[in-house]
Amino acid sequence: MDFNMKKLASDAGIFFTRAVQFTEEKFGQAEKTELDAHFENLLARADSTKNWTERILRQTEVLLQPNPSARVEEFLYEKLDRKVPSRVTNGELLAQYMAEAASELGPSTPYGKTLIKVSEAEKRLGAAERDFIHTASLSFLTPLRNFLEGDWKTISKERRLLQNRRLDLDACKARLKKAKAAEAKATTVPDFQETRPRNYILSASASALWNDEVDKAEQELRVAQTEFDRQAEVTRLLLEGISSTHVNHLRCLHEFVKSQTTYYAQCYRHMLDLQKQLGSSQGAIFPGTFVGTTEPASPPLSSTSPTTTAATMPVVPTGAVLAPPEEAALCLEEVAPPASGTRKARVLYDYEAADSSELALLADELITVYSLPGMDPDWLIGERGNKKGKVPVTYLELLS
Amino acid sequence: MNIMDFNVKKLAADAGTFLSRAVQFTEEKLGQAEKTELDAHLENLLSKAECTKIWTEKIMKQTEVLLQPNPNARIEEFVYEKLDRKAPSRINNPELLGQYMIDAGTEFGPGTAYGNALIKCGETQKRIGTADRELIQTSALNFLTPLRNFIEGDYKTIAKERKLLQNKRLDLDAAKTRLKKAKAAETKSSSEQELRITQSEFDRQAEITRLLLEGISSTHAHHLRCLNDFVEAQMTYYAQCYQYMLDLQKQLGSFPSNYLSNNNQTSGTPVPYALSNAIGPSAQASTGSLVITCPSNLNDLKESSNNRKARVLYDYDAANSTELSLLADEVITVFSVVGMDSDWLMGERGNQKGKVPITYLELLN
Repeated sequence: MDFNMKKLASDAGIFFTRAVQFTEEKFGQAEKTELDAHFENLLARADSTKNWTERILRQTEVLLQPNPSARVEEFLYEKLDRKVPSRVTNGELLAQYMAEAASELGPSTPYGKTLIKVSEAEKRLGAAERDFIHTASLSFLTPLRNFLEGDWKTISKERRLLQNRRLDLDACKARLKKAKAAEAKATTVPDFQETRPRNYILSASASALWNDEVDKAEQELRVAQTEFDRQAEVTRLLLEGISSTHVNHLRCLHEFVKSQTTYYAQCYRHMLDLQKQLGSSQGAIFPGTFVGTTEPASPPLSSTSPTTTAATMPVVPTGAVLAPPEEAALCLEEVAPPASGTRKARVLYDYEAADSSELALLADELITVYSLPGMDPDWLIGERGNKKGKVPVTYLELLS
Repeated sequence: MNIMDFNVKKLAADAGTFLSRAVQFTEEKLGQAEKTELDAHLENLLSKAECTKIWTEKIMKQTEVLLQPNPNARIEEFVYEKLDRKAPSRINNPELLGQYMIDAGTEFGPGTAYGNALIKCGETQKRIGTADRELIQTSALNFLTPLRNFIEGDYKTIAKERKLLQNKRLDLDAAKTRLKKAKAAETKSSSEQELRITQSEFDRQAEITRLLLEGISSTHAHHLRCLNDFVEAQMTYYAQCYQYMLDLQKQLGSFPSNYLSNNNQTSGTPVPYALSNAIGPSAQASTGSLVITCPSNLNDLKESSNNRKARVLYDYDAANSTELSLLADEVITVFSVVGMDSDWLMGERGNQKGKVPITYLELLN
């Protein structure tokens, strides 16, 4: 009981002392120990790192899961320490609907057939998205969260301790100053009171008393200074750890970029496959539809072919617009089958060669084409038998 | 008075018609009256139209969810649409993330490795955000709008005509019932006349409905075209994003020099020995990660089947005659061969050729 009471009183005293010091600082009535510039920089850098890491973390979470209801659900599961059930992604759900629609509308009709193909691609896109979310969460979000909940909490705690130590230190300094002032005042009193023996005795006692007080204050100051310096050192070491935090986060950022690249590469490949399938079924679409549909329906359908053709062609201009010539060639190669590097193409319109480096073309003929690095992205090399030359991409319909 | 009479007469007639239909409908349900069956072809068309409507609606709704997963944003857009006001252009999620990354990089210091990487990554995220917005707009215009127009336009018309057909059929069957019950010759003659009229109207309505229903085929053709447009929009989106990510990886691939610079900057500050040790392993892990990043670029190399220049990072002694010995810092030409182990490439130095391990190389453009 005594021990607890003493400790409680002691803590209350310390708390009160700190509160007084803090208040006097705010009113400008007390001096404040300033941290050195380097230390202040470290603190600012740590704050900045914490704030931006938090923002990037939150926004990446929103990017990966835009539905706030789903995020709340995942948060609850996490707090309850339960495994989050695997949710069907939006792409996968769309794929399912398309597949079921195709079954109902007739799998053998052109629309039904296309719905089936598109639904398979959408399902793969949905799976790729799920993988991306999982990988990005694991390699990017988790480390950022660990920093905020681990390292940063430690730094915050040590900073708070440092603040307390500094208040203690400044309180001791204030106390020492007061003691010295009192001592000085006490030593000047004898000049006026020497002639009276009783006053002289009292004056000496007071002087001795204040002297003891000064010594005690100085002792306390040394202790507080030592503790402050030690705490400052500990905090500084932790703050300098922010550099390794940056290195770690840089590595995580690379992982995120890698998983995002993988995601888009997969999606791009799935879309390429889909376009090839849709392009190859173009011939099948028209006759089937023509047989199954009445006359009035034919005109609208006939415009499907140009659209499909147009859907295939823009792949090339897209690559051309986005990339320098070298990379345009690379992007164009993405379209080509990896195995051979060459493709068959059907000529859409007649073309007269403008010079000997070009190949003349006749409408409806088939030629072999391939690209060369560094060549203008609007041209390919075409071969017909033993003849070879440049051919304009816009005159061709690439076949798989 | 005439007006009053006219209204009353019309009202009575309508009430009579309604009552007749109600009686006929009830008797059909109770099995006490005959029902004219629609021909099989018309039934098939009706079923097909119903099916098309249901699935078109589901696909449309789910595509909307796919393009805008946030239900709050969808509700907001819906309200704006109903109020016939233009929805304000909202910064989308990738753009916001990009903005945060750029701001963070600027504050951390563009000269530092992490800050530099954040800025580059942020710029790429912004471009992805722009591509994302374009995908949404294009898909909404070319795919969702036609589907919505079908549901709110064509299908509503079909539903209306279908209802009329139902009413005509009830009138026809009511007339048939009345004819059957007629006794007197005069009443019979009148009923026959009425029957011919209702039969004629029914046939006309059936024809109109059939024509509308047969339009479903052209609807399918139209939706097929819209589906192709949607595929094209998605294709463009993923091609663009893939290109952006490739560009970003190439920029980040120049990381070693940045890191060296950062290291020099860090070493300018007094760092305790223990802390240096802490940074060391991270740096090594970071370098390891960079090497791992290369295979992703190498996949591009394999697909492109093009020759590329590569710088050798470490000495390598050939283990057999199929391999090529390497010296650190030299530049060789490499290409991939179909069917070869993915950890190896074919390397050429002058007229010497052989397999080289990928992990020993740094690919150049």
